[in-house]
Amino acid sequence: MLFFLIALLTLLQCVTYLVIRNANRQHALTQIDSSLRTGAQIFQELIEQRSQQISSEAAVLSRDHAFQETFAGANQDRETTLSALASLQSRVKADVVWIGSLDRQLLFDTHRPEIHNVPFPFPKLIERAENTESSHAFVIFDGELFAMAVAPMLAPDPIAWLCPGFRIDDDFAREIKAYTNAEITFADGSNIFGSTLEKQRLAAKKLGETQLPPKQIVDLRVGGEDFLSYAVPLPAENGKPIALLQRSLNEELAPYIRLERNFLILALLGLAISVAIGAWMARGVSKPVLQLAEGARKIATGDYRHRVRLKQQDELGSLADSFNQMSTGLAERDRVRDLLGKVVSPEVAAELLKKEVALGGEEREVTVLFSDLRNFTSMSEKLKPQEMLGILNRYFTGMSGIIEKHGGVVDKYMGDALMALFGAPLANADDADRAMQSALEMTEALDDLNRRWQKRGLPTIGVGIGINTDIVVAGNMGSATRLNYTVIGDGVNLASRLEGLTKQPEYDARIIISGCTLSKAKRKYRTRRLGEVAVKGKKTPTEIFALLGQN
Amino acid sequence: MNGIRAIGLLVLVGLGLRLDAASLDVTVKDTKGATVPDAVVYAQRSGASSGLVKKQAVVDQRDKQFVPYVTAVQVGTSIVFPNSDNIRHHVYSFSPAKKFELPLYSGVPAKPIVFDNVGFVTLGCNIHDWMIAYVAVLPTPHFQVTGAEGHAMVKDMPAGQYTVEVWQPSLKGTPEQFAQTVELSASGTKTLLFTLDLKPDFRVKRAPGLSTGGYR
Repeated sequence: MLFFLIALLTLLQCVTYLVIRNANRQHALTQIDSSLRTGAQIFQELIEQRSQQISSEAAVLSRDHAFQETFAGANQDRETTLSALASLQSRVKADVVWIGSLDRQLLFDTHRPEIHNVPFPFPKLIERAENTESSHAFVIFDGELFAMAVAPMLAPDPIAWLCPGFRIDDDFAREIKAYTNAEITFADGSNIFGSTLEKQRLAAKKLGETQLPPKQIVDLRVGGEDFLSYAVPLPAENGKPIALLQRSLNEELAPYIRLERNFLILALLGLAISVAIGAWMARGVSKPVLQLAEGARKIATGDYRHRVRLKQQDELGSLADSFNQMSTGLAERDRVRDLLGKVVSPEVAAELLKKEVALGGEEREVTVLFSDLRNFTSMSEKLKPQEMLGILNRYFTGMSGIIEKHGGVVDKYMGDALMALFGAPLANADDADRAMQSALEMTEALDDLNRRWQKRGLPTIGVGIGINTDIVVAGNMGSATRLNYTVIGDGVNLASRLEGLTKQPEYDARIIISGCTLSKAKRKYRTRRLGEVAVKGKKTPTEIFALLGQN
Repeated sequence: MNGIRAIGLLVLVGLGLRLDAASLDVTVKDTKGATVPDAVVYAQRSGASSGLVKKQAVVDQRDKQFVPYVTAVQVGTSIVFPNSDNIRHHVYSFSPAKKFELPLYSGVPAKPIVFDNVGFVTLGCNIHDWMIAYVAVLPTPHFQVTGAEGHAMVKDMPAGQYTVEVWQPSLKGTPEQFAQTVELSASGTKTLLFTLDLKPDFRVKRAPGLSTGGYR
């Protein structure tokens, strides 16, 4: 049972751990998902604001009258214009400034002073500006990514296009990361313009080969770490640059992993404690329980002497004490039963124990046998009281053995007389026969005893037996606290009288039975009619016979 | 007989009939059919060159606007730029036909500016982004600017063959592309219709009060 419990506990812990682990991962993923989407929204907003900002800056710059003069006034020279352009550039902290002509030629490039009158690399940018007064977009130029604004130089009519550009690089990426709380990489295919994630920069080639569906969260494995990634496409004139927002799954999971580890430790600790408690319980509970079970088994087999010895004082200890008391009680009851059986004969004892002991009786047909010893008193004068009791007991033991063998019940001993019942408390069909056979055996047994005593020089004794069958009242008689199972009635008295009649020498009979008893006999017996006697309560006298033997 | 002719001529003169009295009735519309105001209609007589008819023009600055929006002058005309506002203005032009500037001033400048090149000049005010005006410097004295209804009447034109062109600040393309030739007799009116392809109006919106934009 212990192992089952431990196994169950282990299973429970495992299941809990897995459930927690799964829930953690789900939660982390959900967190990152919402965080990335929010980050992307913030990013979009930021980019929009920045674009508006550089557009406004371009518009303001383009209104610079002094610069306009260097560009369009009398006495133009490129050197002056370029230097003034550089000044404008630093005014708004741009990384490059171009000037495009109205017919879409590139006139000035602060990065390449020698450039003049080449086609403007991004004519669509100018086209949009023509229609909407200003425009901005991302452009990829010379392997770098710029956010470029285009504003008309109004003097006061548009005379040219002023295009400041802002490089998207690591610094910018770091700025954005502070707002979006995600790693950010600006890239076009495998060309990385700026990134906050060194691992991603190193994995540029792989990035170029990866399919990144826009506005969807995918799991990218970068430098051995899982990053949930969200690609935001940037509106560009050329190429397909994206801003890749990324969050490390491990980082997100870190607190949960700590939790899981703690849980695991606790679980193992709990398990160890459970095993310890289980082992302790085995000693403290299972063993005593087994001892009690053993004790119960012993009692079932009738060994009431067995005692359960437990060292402990707790509930089991008190159970053991109760158990031992029960054992004692059972032993006691057994002894009492035994004693009762000895005192009243086992059948009477059983009858008594069967139901509530109450005074009263029932009428039944019972064959009553009285026996009495002759010459016993004369013998007793020659013997010591102990010896006499010993002989008497040996005699009674033999006689009652015979009676019980034939299914009779010894009612009582009265000195050297014995009263037995055949038919109460339990009746048999041939009670009369049983009584008569008993009587015959008893006389034979006594003869046996006499022969032995004679050999020892002891005097012999005689016996007289009277048997009558009649309806009597059988039951418990006496007082409630001191009673006796016996029979009463005229039939009983007659049996006693018949026994007394054996003393009559003219009858010369050791066993005298009534006609009633003989009539109830099922077998054939050798008898001698002795005569009749008057019986109280009966009109006709009863015939009596001497029982000589069986046929 | 000469005397009768002379009297006849005098009578004719007295009646106001002039020898160079043809007129050109021009209507200017755009491709959508709307009438086009501020369009400069000018006619160049082939084979003729005229002397300067009018010596000076005026472009005023009133209520922080140039008045008028479009001025047409014959090449060689001087233009005075009085400042009728109680604040100063800084008039400038970067147009190749005339680059000049009148740094912050009030009242009437001492010297007018001579527009001695044919071309179209854009005027601006350095400190008021919305102020803009145009001067069409024309090679001919025969010109008129259309009014609100897109209609101009060029009068006192001697007979001859003319190339008529129209220019408007929002014109897409060059005036030559829309040129029409017309033969004018000594008197009478010829009617012309010009349909121009115009760009959307690029004019900067005037700053109303001080409250636009806001911290965003």
